[in-house]
Amino acid sequence: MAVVSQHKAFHYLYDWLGMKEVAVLEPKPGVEPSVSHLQQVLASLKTQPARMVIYAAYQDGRPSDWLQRNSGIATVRLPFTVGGSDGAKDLFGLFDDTIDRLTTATGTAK
Amino acid sequence: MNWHALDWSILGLPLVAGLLVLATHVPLGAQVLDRGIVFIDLAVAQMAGLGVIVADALGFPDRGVAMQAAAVTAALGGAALLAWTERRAAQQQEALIGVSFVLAACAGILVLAGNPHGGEHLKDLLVGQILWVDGAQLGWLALVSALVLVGLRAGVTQRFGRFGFYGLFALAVTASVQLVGVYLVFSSLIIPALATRSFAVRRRPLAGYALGAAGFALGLVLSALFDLPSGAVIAWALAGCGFLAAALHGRRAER
Repeated sequence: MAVVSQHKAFHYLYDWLGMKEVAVLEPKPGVEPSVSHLQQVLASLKTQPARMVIYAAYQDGRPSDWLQRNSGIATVRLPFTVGGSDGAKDLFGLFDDTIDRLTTATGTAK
Repeated sequence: MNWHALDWSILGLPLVAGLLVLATHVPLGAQVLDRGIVFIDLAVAQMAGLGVIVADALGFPDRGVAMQAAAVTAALGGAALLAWTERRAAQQQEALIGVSFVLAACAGILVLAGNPHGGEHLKDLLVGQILWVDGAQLGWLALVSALVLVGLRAGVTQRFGRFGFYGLFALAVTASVQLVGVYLVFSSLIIPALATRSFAVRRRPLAGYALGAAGFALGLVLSALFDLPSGAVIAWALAGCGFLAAALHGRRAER
């Protein structure tokens, strides 16, 4: 499954679930997206569509929301670590909640 | 340089936001300059931003109605305070405005001291995030701008004296500072008003709007072409357009 990340932070998750990162919103890790980089992301999504844009709970969701408005793909906010969401109270909760949010976004039943 | 970056689906909404900000800030800026209280916008914008920061620290939902209420309350409170100091100590008004700006800015730093994203919030408050504006935010900005323009037309600033002006000013700045940041609020107010000072009174507003719009458009285009942060580039572009307009007008007046 092809996805966009707001910040390059999910290598292990993508590797584990067989997801493919086709674009990253930040031009460099930690650098805010700029006009020209956003345009490149939008252009690359036309040739290589993605299902969703993923950002971590500790990040500002505005760049991902922007991509949702401009490309129509879903945004998914992942807890990233224990405590990142109400569901991620412990390590098991973290994995359950992460999978939950991803499957809800793809619309596939578990 | 990346010409493909000139994508109006990306730059369109930010440009509309800029034009809406200019709609109220150009006429208000002329009054600010005439009253000799140039730094009031920094102070009031900073107070509106402080309202947002405090609301955020209190756990109000981001971009919700409660947060806007907090921002407007803080800005109107600041405006009332400055209207009061102008009545009490008109001679020291500029200095008092400067002090209140610094205090509002420092209060923001204090509230954000324990927040790991504090630095980002403070930078957002200064240079804004004009790229992320959405339709709903533009709708609200348009509504507030229309109210302020109607207020100016109806002579609120004459009829209700000092607080009429400071109140309208606080409303306009609260709406704009959250989208474009303190620096662009200041630039949109002061640069068009300053550059058109020697223009005929009748032509001043139109000239101010024209150079302001040119500044925002040029700034957005340059920020896309050279891949630079939009808010900061727009401030420089506004200054460039203002300088050009004043210089051209000066040369024509000499002839």
